[in-house]
Amino acid sequence: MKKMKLACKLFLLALLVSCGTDPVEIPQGAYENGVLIINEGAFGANDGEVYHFDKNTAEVEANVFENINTRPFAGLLQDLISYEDYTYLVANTGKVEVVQSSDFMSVGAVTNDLVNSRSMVRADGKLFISDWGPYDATWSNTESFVAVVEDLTGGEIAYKIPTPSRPEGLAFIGDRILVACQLGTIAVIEIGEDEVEKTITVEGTPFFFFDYEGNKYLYANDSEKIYLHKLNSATFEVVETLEFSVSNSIYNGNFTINNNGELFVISNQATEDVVVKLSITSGSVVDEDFYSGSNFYGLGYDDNTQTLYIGEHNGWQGNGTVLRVNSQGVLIDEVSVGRGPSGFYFP
Amino acid sequence: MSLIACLVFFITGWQSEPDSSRAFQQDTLELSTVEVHAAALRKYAFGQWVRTLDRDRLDQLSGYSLGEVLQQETGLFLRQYGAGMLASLSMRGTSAGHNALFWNGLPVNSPSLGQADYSIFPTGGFDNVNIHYGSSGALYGTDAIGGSVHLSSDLEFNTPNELRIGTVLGSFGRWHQQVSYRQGGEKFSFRTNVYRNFAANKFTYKDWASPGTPERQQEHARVSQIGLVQDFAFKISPRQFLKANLWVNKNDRQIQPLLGSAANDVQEDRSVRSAVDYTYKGEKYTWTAKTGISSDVMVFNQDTNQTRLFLLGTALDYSFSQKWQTLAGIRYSHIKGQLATYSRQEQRIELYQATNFKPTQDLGISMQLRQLIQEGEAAPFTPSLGAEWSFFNSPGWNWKLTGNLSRSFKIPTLNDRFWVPGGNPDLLSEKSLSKEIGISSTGDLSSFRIENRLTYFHMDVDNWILWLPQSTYWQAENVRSVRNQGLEYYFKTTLKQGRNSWGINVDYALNGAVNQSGDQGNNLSVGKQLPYVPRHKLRTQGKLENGPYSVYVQQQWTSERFVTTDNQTVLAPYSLWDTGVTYAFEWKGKLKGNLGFHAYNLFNVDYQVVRLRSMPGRNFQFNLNVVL
Repeated sequence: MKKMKLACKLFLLALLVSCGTDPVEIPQGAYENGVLIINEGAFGANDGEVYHFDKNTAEVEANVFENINTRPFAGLLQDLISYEDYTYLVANTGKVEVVQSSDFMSVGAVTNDLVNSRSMVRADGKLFISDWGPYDATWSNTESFVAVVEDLTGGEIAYKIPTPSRPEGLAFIGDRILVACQLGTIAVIEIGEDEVEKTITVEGTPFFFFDYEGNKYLYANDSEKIYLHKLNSATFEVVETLEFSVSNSIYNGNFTINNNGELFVISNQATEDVVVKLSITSGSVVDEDFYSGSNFYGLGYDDNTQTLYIGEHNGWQGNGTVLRVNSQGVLIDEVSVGRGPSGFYFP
Repeated sequence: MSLIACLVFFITGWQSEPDSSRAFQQDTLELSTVEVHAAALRKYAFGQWVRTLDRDRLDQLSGYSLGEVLQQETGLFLRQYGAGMLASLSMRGTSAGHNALFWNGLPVNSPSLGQADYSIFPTGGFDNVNIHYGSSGALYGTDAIGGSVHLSSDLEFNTPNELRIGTVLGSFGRWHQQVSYRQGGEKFSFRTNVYRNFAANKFTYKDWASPGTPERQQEHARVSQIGLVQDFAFKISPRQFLKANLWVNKNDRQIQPLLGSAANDVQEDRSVRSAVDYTYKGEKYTWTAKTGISSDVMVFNQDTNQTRLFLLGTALDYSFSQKWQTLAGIRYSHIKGQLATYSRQEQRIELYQATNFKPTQDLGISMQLRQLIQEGEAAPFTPSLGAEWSFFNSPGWNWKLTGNLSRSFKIPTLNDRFWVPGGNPDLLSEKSLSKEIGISSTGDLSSFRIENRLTYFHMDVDNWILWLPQSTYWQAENVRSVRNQGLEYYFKTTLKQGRNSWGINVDYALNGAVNQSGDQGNNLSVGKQLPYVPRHKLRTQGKLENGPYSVYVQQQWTSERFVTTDNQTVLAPYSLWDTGVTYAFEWKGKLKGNLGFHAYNLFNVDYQVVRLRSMPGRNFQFNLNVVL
């Protein structure tokens, strides 16, 4: 018996030593590499899906969600938010699917009482989901809200926080949730409270928050300009606004940013769509025609390979195409993807 | 391939059977009232097939919509967006707007949408369904690119008064009630028909959009419908007839949500249709005058869309001799649309002419011409040429070769041209050039009757209109070219053995609809089959009648459908089996009627006609019709 105990202790010691010197690597899941492509899907068809692109082999895996979970995603995929453990697929048809980030296995969903969900953020062990709410008779959204779910794998909505109309992107700073609302405000919500603490009026139509050099920015646009509002991290007031003269930037607010503080934005012009390159550092338009074509819909920038990904919707009648363009604006290749490629995630 | 081999066998196998049949039956047979309308449609349509659906089956399907009837009874494919929901017809691989629907000769495709929702035409509103397969724009005007469907009402003179009460009870809260009263005098006859259809559609479905794919009960798919049909017929003199038809229909629907969507849309459709026909039958000619109005109101949630069509037309059908007949007519339409985002009125004048030439008893040739002028602008000139050659006649057997070459067109809809935003007033008419050849045979051998029909068609459709995204909104544009080709096969046989009468029906359609153009430069779509056009649809029915009893089993199989133009997303094929039994009764000559019990989707197949639109599983129906 003593020999057994000794053997066990030695084994445990050996294990500890080995762990300390040579940590066991958890193998990365299939979807923690490469590129996840968000395909929004067509209205009335609910055929949003995630495609996976392998940068080494240039192979595409179609319909990742359906392949793994043997059921269709069945929604219009508005946003994809990924954390180390779970990835959240936000559908504007009123649901959020939760999958494991490593293998895309479904672990739950939020399906009840969402109407037109747009994006989400995770904070304090809760999910905060922005939702436009229903349309009224004049096609306005007067009952917009942020839904709070107290389980990271989905389930019932614990409560709803009414917000200004058309909430889009969210951010978590300190103990506050910031909500970009399309009618020109940032709504500030203190975690744990069930109402908006204050609203901050900003110029343009706000869409998404992003971080650059330790600062929180808000992306907003109107028909003439793009606005990057730099926010105070304590009061969330706008401390500086960078304005760029870019007309008709895409209506869904899609853009991407790289590590050098260069922003890429789609501008819909009369006969073509143009990717415009902006610089936060210089506060100016760097390249008015970085790349042009037609039916541009989504953008993503891969800093590792210095590659810009442009999603083309191809008129929505069929599936879309992704163009890969290098940092010089030269086309690398084209890849067939799902319907309405609207965004990219680089794990 | 084996299927095609079977078809060839049917055709070649029976060719040597000795018998004869007369060619051009429409000219030589005494026709019942039921067939009169069909005969008028067929008269100038040599080379094409006008099919009349079986009246008994229509009776059994009372309470059903035209969409459900065509899906069950023919090889035509309808995109059904759920139980009792929007059903749009695709003929010969064309789109929903490329076939024309008529009720008593009145065009009832919505002028704003350019198509009809076949789910809101209940069988209570008409007596007969005739289907004209193939391009027939020269005969019927706009929209008839893939074919046309004709609904008509019968009213006979000198018939006994009749009160008919029909009830249908079915699964998932289906309840249909219909009462009609008919009185037919020597000079005047009328019929009043009221009906009510209700379907809660609380069927169980698998929720593919939720984790664990739980079974749920459909909650937002209730359909209710009420309607009134009033038919009159006057025999003004032995040569003069007046016919008037009125149909009022109201349809309320909760729109069954797409799986994964939380929408709670509701739709109300109200329609009033009326047609008045005057006919003068001379020695050698028939003069007809027609007027009608079709008014539709569709309220989708809060948005109201209203269209009205007024039609006035006259035609002279003159028979020079047995060899030559001609028809000439003019039609005026006034269309008014008050839609959610625009209002518009416009006028159309159509001149048409058709000529039949029968050089011999066995050969018939039809030529039709039509020119439509809309607001002073000419639509594509539409000629058509068809021929029918009865090349083998023997007692009991008749074999025919048919062929047709025709142009058809579709005027861009009001929405395509004027919807704000995105309507495009500069749109051209969609147009098609169609060719078809066919072979058919009928055999009538005392207790055994057989009919075979095989058609090959080839059609090019150009200027096909699509709504495509522009910088800030979608716009209608003439962008697509499509080549449609395929086969249609129809087989029917009946065999009488003592008290038993056996019957088999087969309908098969092969539809290739290949995108030639890509859509706005989308190369992924070039050379691909159009979405929601199944390459194959096969429908078979076997039935046995014994005295008052009748039993049937039928199956329909629909092949895979593509969801997108690049054919990357596919919906699985499905096969549905139905069966039913009916019993006809009569009591002392005072009361008669029938009882029926039907089981649909017998094997409880979980299927979707359109992706993510749930359809009901196994369901049952009981019907009782009483005639006093």
